[in-house]
Amino acid sequence: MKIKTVDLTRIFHVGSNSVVAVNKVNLEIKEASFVSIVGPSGSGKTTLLNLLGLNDKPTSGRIFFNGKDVSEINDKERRKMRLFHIGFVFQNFNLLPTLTSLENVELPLMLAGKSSEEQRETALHLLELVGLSHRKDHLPNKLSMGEMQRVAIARALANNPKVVIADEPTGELDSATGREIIELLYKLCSERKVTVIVATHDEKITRVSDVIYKMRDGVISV
Amino acid sequence: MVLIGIGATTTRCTSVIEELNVLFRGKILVVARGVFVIQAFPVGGTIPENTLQEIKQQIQGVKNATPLVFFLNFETSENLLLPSNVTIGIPPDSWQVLTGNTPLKTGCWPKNETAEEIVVGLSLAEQYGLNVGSNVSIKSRTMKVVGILDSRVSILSRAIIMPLKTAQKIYKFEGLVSMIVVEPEGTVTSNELSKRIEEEIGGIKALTEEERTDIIQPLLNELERWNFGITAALLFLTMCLVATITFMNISERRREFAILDAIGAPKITALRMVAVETVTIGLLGSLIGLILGVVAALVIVSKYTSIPMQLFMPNLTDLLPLSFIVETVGLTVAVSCLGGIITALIANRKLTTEILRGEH
Repeated sequence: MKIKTVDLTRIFHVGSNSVVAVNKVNLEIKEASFVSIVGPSGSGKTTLLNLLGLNDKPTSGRIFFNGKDVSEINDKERRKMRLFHIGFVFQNFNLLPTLTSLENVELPLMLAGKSSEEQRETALHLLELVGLSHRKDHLPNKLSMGEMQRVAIARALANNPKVVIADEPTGELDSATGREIIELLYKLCSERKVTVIVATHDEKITRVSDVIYKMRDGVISV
Repeated sequence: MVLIGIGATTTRCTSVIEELNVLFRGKILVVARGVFVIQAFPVGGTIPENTLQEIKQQIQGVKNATPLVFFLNFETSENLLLPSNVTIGIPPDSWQVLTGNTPLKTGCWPKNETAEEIVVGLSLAEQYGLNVGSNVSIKSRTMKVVGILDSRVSILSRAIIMPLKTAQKIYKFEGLVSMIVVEPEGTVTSNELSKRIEEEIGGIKALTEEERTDIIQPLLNELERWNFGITAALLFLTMCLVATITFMNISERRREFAILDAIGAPKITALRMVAVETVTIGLLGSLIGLILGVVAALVIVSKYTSIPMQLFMPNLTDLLPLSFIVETVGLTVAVSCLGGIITALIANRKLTTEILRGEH
């Protein structure tokens, strides 16, 4: 999926103060590219990803997905976009603690109205893809950090999204596990033609990226 | 639980008092002046036995008159608030005045007016394992059980019924009776006959069924009010508890809702989830609460009456009527569900991005 932003701005109001987290950001991300966004903590990376992932609404500016303006679409359509076209991977995984690995991956499929057979089949396939089919019946608290992140990636891929947005996906992982996750994301991008956008401090990720954006004080530069 | 126990006990007392009214229906009770009468029985007070002859001989319109003695028996070994059984003495040819059409489950009635024989109520017989032929010691006298009365009416199921003369003898009540039950002839109304008796005989009062009801009604109303208050307090407490638990549960699970939101779940998904869970919690909670409440009530009632818990089982519907169950469960589920959904809606107001970022 091609993504373009025009003067994308997000301002938070804290009491009488205003914080410009994302300041007139202009991006152009090609289809099936691997994009990294780097910058210090508090530079606005997560806010930008939330805007691109339609989890948040911009204060001003535009976002285009394959040429279509999605910055003004209603809440229902945003949810649909998140469910069917965008996969989100969080730094702290955000798996549902009461569901097994398999059920966590099945969840977006269930929400998309897939049959239970299809849910099971797809979820098993995705767990196999991330190398966790043997851990399908384990609850998140029985998994290692790396395993949890792999389940989160499998969940993000459930409805075959065109873009995967990952917010510091290796931030909580040791370097060996982090490398595995990077390889996995890279494989997704190259083999499944998924656009991958990653916010990171990790140099290993930036090394495999097609484009690296630097962010500071809400302003982006290539 | 304590509230349920008290509520159930007062319910029980009310139902026992109401049951008493089925005895001596349409008849006049002659008792000593100043005695408080709870429906069918006077609390204390005596009248001379020869009052019976005066009523029979002097008063026009009396079809039948039956003297009775009535004693509340408390367990001596324990400090009980309620009597564990009652002794009723009545002439052998008048058993039906007391029991109506209630049959004997087994055995027969005592044969004559001085026989040291008794008929016991079903509940007492079950509690003490009494059968026809069993011996029972009452006031140091050995009495033989000759019959078991097949009645679930509280007062009769806990009664020891014996001939009047025997009761007067062993309770040292010779020449005295607790009350006289007067049946009017068809030609006279209860009110007229009661007036005649009071005019002709001094030191007594003759109470019709209506007058007895009037005496007890304020007490019953008071008990009803207590019951209503206790039930209302109980429901309110239940609602507060369930709502608090639901609120805590929802607050803790705000992150789960945020995750669902982030992966694109429709808003209704979280609400549906909360509704299913809160209905389940409300349903299970209220049912478990009711069961525990009944157990508590039975333990309390049993402790203060020395009546074993299992003997209350046949009358459990008095203690816990279906309407009370439906009200309690329905209200608890409704409050739980409403509390959960309102809290979930409030929780959903916070931005998903803020909740998920808060975990960093």
